[in-house]
This record gives sequence, C-alpha cells and structure tokens, in this order.
Amino acid sequence: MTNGNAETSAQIGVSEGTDNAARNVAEEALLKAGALQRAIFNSANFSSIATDAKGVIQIFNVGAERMLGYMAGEVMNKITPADISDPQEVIARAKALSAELETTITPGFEALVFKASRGIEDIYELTYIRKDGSRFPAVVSVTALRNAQDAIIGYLLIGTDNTARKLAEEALLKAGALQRAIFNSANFSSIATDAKGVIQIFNVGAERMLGYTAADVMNNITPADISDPQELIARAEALSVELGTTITPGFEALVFKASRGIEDIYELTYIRKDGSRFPAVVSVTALRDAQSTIIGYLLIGTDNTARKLAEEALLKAGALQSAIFNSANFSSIATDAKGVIQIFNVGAERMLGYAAGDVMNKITPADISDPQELIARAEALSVELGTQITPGFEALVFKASRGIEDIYELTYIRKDGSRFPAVVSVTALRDAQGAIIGYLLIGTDNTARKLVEAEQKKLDQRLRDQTALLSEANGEIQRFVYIVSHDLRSPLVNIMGFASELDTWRKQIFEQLAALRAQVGGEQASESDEALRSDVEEALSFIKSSAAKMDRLIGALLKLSREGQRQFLPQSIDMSQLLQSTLEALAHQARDVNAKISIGELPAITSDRLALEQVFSNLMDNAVKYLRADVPGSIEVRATESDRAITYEVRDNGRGIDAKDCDRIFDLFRRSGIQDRPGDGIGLAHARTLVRRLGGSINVESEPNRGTVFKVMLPKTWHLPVSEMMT
Amino acid sequence: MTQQVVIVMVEDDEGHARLIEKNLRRAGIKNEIVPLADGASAIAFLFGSDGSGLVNKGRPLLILLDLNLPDMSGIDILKRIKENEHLRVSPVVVLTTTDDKSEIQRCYDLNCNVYITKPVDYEKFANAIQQLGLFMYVIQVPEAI
Repeated sequence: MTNGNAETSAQIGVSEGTDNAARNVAEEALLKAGALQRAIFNSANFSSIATDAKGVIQIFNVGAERMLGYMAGEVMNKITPADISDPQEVIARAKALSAELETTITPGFEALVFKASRGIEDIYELTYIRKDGSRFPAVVSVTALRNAQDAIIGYLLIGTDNTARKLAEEALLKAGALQRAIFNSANFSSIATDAKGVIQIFNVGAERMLGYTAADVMNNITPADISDPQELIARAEALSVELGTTITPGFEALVFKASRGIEDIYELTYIRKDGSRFPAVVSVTALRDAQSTIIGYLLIGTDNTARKLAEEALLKAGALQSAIFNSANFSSIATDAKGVIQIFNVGAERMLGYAAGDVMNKITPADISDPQELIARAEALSVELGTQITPGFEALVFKASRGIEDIYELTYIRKDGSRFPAVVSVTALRDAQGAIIGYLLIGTDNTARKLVEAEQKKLDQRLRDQTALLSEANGEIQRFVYIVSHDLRSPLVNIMGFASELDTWRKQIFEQLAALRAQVGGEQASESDEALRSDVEEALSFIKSSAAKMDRLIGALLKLSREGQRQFLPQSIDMSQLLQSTLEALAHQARDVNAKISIGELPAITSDRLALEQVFSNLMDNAVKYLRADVPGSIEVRATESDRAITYEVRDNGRGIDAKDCDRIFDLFRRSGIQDRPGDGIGLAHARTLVRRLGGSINVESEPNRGTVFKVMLPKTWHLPVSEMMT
Repeated sequence: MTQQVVIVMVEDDEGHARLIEKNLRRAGIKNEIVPLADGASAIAFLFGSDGSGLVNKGRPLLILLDLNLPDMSGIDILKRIKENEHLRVSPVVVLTTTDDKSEIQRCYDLNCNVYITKPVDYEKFANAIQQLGLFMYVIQVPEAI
C-alpha cells in the first residue's frame, strides 16, 4: 500500500494535512506516555513506527532504522508496516483474526492493527523483512492513536528484535526438563538477555523476587541496571585484575567470564523495583547459536537472603559462635523459614554423613531426625503449649519460633541409616523487622556424653553404696566403742573397789599383826612387817592408779565416740568472739604463767560452734600449758583468708615440738616431750577428728624451744553432708 | 525405811553386787537384799510364774536395777515394772555404769525414780552407795498394790 503524498519530504515536526495531524498526535501521545516510553521511543533497541489511520508510515525512529536497514526518508509517507512484514504471516494473521473476531480482515495493514483499532491491547510476534531482504523475528506492540474526539488518527507500532529471545527459548528448550523446571519456578529468577545484555526473558521467579513485571524490563534494561552499582564496579575491577583485561563495570562485568566459556556463579545484590535490596546467588551461562556465536546470556538467580541473614547472624554472634559454626564438632544447620536447609556446615557433614549438596535446598532437618521422636515431641509440645503442632519441622522449631529459648535432645539419623543422640540448640533467624526468615540448629553429638552419663550413674551408685557401707561401718564402730567402753568400765569398778577394800583390810591386817607381835613380844620383826606393808601398799597403789588411768582412757574413748555421733549444725560464727570466750576461760591459767594472749581480727565462718569451741579451747589450752618457764609467754591467734577457706593460726613461743613427733601428736593417747603436765593424749586427736568432720585440716609447724604454730584450715561455709542429713 | 522392805538388786556383776551390798550395810541398811544376776531371774522374781506381778502383792519392794544385763536391757525391765499394775508404785533406782545423757533421759521418761551412775573411783562409788543407803533409810516405800 502506498500513499498519495509519497513525494512529501520526511520532515518530522512539520505539520501538513491529516498525515501531519497523525504525527502530531503521535508525538503528543508519546510525550504524555512519559519518560519511560520516550526512552523506548528514542532507544536504538526499539523500532518505533507511527502511521496515519491508513497505515502510511509517518515516524520511523533510529531503532527502526537500525533494525530494518531503511532510512526514515525511504519509508515515511511511502509504505505501510505491512510492506516490511512477512506476507505469509500477514495472510495467516488475517485468517486467524477473521476466525477469532468473526469478521473478514484483509491480509494487509488491517491485519496488523485491527485489534488495536478495536481498543484491544495487542502484542504479537512478527517476522520483519529488512531492506536487504533478510528477516528477523520481532515482538510488536500496537497502539491506536486517537484525537480529542477519540477518532483513530493513526497507529504506533513498537517492535523489538526477538532474535536473542527466540534463541534463548530454543536453548532453554534444549537444556531439558530440569532447567525448564528451574526456569518456570517461582524460586529462581531466570533472566535471559541478548548479547548486549538487554533483557529478553524475565520469568515469574524474577518478577516475584525483583518486583518488576516482565514488561517493565524486557527490551528495556540489562541485569546490570538491577544490580548494586558498587558491586559492579568492584566486580569489574577484580575481574580486570584476575583476567588481565579491562572490564567495564556494567553488564560486561556480570557476564564476562561466561562469555569466555568460564563457568560462573557468584553472589550479587539485586535491587528491587521499590529500591530494596537482596543478596542473590547468580549462575551465568552464555547462549550460543548453531555457529557458537554468543547471542545472549541466561542469568539464573536464587534469593540468598535467608542464607545471608543466617550467615550475618552468625557473624554477629561473635567469635565463639563462628568458631562453633566452623567447627567440625558442631553441626550447624541453617534453614529458611519453611525449614529447607540453606547451610550445612562441615560439622553437619561429618556427623550426618551427608554432603552439603545432598541436603541444601532439598530437605529439612526433620527429614534427618527420628520420626518417632518427632511425633512424641509434637505431642508433648501440643500439650505444653496448648496448640496443635505437626510432627515435622514445626515440632523442631516451634518454641524457637515463639521466641522461647530451646535446647533439646534429639536422635539424628545419618545418611547410612545409623543413629546418634544429639543436643540441639535452636534459634530463629530474623530480619531487621523481626520477621523470621529461617532457623539455625546447632547440634552436638551427645554419644560421648550419654556414655559418660551412664558411667557417671554407675559411679554415683557405687559411691552411694560405698557411702552407705562406710556409714554403716562407722556406726558399727561407734556402737562398738560405746559398748566396749561401758563393758570395760564394769570390771574397773571391781578392780578399784576391791583394791580399796583390800587397802582397808591391809590396815586392819597390819594393825592386828602388830597387836599379835606385841602379845608375843617380838621386836625385830616389826621392820620386816614395815617392808611388807609398804610392798602391799605399793602394789595396791599401782593397781588403783592403773585402774584410774584406764578409766580416764575409757572416758576419752567414750567422749570421742559421743562426739562422732553428735549431730553437727552449721551456723554463722563470730570467731573473734568465740576465741575471746575461750581466752576468758583460760585467763586464770594464763595469769599464773605470765602469758600474754592476743587475738587478731578473725573472719567469721559458717560451721559447728561447739566443735570449734572444743578445737580452739584445746589448742589454746595446749599453748598455755606448754610455755617455757624462762621467757614471758606470748600467744597469738590470727587468720588468713582464701576464696573458699579460712586458715586460723594459734601461735605460741613455748617449748615447741620435736619434728619426729609432729605427726604423732594427733594420734590418740600420744604425747610429746617431757611428761610434766597432766594429760592423756586425747585433745589433739579429738581436735583433728572434729576438724576433719568439718571438712578441714589441721597441721603443726614447730621449732623446739622457739614455739609452735597450729594451723586450722576450714571451709568458709560448711554444709551438712547428705549422709548426715539422712540420719 | 521399815524393816520389811525388800531390796531387789538386779546386777549381773557379782563384784558390783558385793560392793553395793557392803556399802549399803555400812550405811546401816539391814533389809533383806535379793540379788538377781540376770534379766530372766529378775522377771521371774518380780512378776511371778504367771507374769502378772500378783506374786508380790502387798510387799514393799525397792528395786536396784543395772541397765547392762547379759540377757536383756534393764530398760525393758524398768518399762515392765512401771507398766505393771502391781509393781508400778515400787521405787526403782537405776544403778549403772552408763552416764550417757540420752540413756538417763530415757530412764526418767520411763518413770524410774532415781538414776545413779557407778563411779570407777571407789571413794566416790562407796560414797554414792552409802548416800543411797541413807536415802533408803528415810524414804517410805509403798506395798505393791
């Protein structure tokens, strides 16, 4: 179809007749359509062709010139778009539209614009024929241009070269089912570009992730336009260095490696339509034609937010956690909000036998947990929290999802089917707004601990058995000592009693003997009588003193036995005060030997009062008792304190104890040095028994003729042992 | 103490028994002393063959009781005496080597009348028994009901 004004020169902007009116309206419409459309109109990547109502071309932009090989002047006011379209396709289109709309449509310009003329939005594929006769597939969008009265005054046909897209689609078809699935998945952004990077395909996943509709970006921008510019610059620099060639920080930086046949997967921050950002992992493939010429690129991306946040949370959690995360001894498993594993660290690989690739984006932690335990856990939690929890991943993270700290035991199942007990700590991963974007499950292999626990249980039982045996034996000894000392006392009563009776009789015997001798008048015999009398007296006195000593010893045994049975009671004791009362009890003796006693500031203690009174009164008593006659006595009590213990020192300048006796003096009935003071060798034995029962120790440092220090170390706080609480 | 009062001395140690008797006599006690060397013979004497104690009805008894007996504890004998309808009024003097406080407490809880410890020191022993003798001399002993 030609136009009658064929000789009119192509002067855009010169208004002349109806054709000019159409052009003006077209230009106005474009102005109104705003910046984006203007950009498209002026873009070399779009052929923008405006016609008058009859189809005669009025505008033919630079993109149209580039794509079709005609200059504007060659077509304007001369031909219609039908003249540069595949005639067979125009015929086919006319037929199809006639059938669809039940009206006869002629296979010419009408077939190209009929829908648009009826107000129906129309985008279709069409093969354009270049000036040189070659062809290319185009996608054409047709809009009717109307005047103020809404009458059609022309059409605008915006076309894009569809070659790259066609090839991309073909390549994708060839790439098989898996890639197709990826391509169609809403979880992957699949963006195909032409060789220059202009987006040709923008799948549902890309729409979902990036917030653009396909129409927003197709034939419009490159993936570089939706990528972080700083990262592009950095990537371009790094690649320039790596590959030894200058790479520009644009689309080239995104696909350069792929264009060189190098497999390329990298992390990138995409920018959504609303300006928000998200980390993506992008895999780039060059699309090639039959001659292996690159005709475009396919960028498949996954949203890396969950993983990134998991990693960020881990980074924030500090060195320890990151050490845990990187440790082969902890299984660190991060999932997205639905439980699908996103990170599976070396520890998890080692413990569970799966490689990260086996499980990432495939399964949830519930799939590697004991199903029976999951059911039990879900039931228990349902009851506990009063809400129905399903026996799957939910059961593992429900508490964490409610902000409750959750650490529990769980049996994991390895790839080979074997099982091991784990202790799992679960944390919800949240974004800046507090929304959960995933979970982190850190697990430790509990096998060793379980074994240790079992062993510990056995040991505890054995210890309890032993303790019971010991306390039984101890009780038996106490009873034995008690009974024996009583039974030993009975014969002593007789020994003492009859020795005394004998003594009485002895006097009578010798009196009678003397009387008898007086009667017979024997004088010289009285000397031998006297000798006999003193022998008998001596014998009786040995019997009585030995019996008395034995009574004292038995008394001491009884006392020790009673102390052993006495219930100790821990209470807070002011030690300065306790020593002061001890000192007062000794004041008289101290004055007698001219001894000076000084008591320093002593820290308070929680222990048994009576026992400590006995211990320190014994030590003070000893100190006073064994001073030297030649020097003024000096006795000093002080204390040193550590974290959990206090050491009280009783220091004197007395006669001292020989080094060989320093251990012996704590034994029952043992004494040291000259036996010139009363005593049975019981005091220190008693003191040691008491101090030991109070969880402490007593020892002595001494230098003969210089002095002695007794050191009593006691726990700051003594608790009643469990075995004593039971009695 | 009237002449008819019978002193029942439950004491397994013959030596002790002799020393006690000697010192009581020294204190001027002339009453009959029935020495019983073990628990079984003490029970038999006190409660009779029927075990009712009726055998001693109408007799004034003063009982000296050692706690450490070979065949039973003196505590059990004390308990039976004080639970017996006939003998419960008879004074019981516990005379033993045990000076354990809880033991003393227990005897008084069971209504013993006097608790005396036998000292090993004979002077003290003799003194204690003679004091007891003087005490016996002045107290009134009821007849078993």
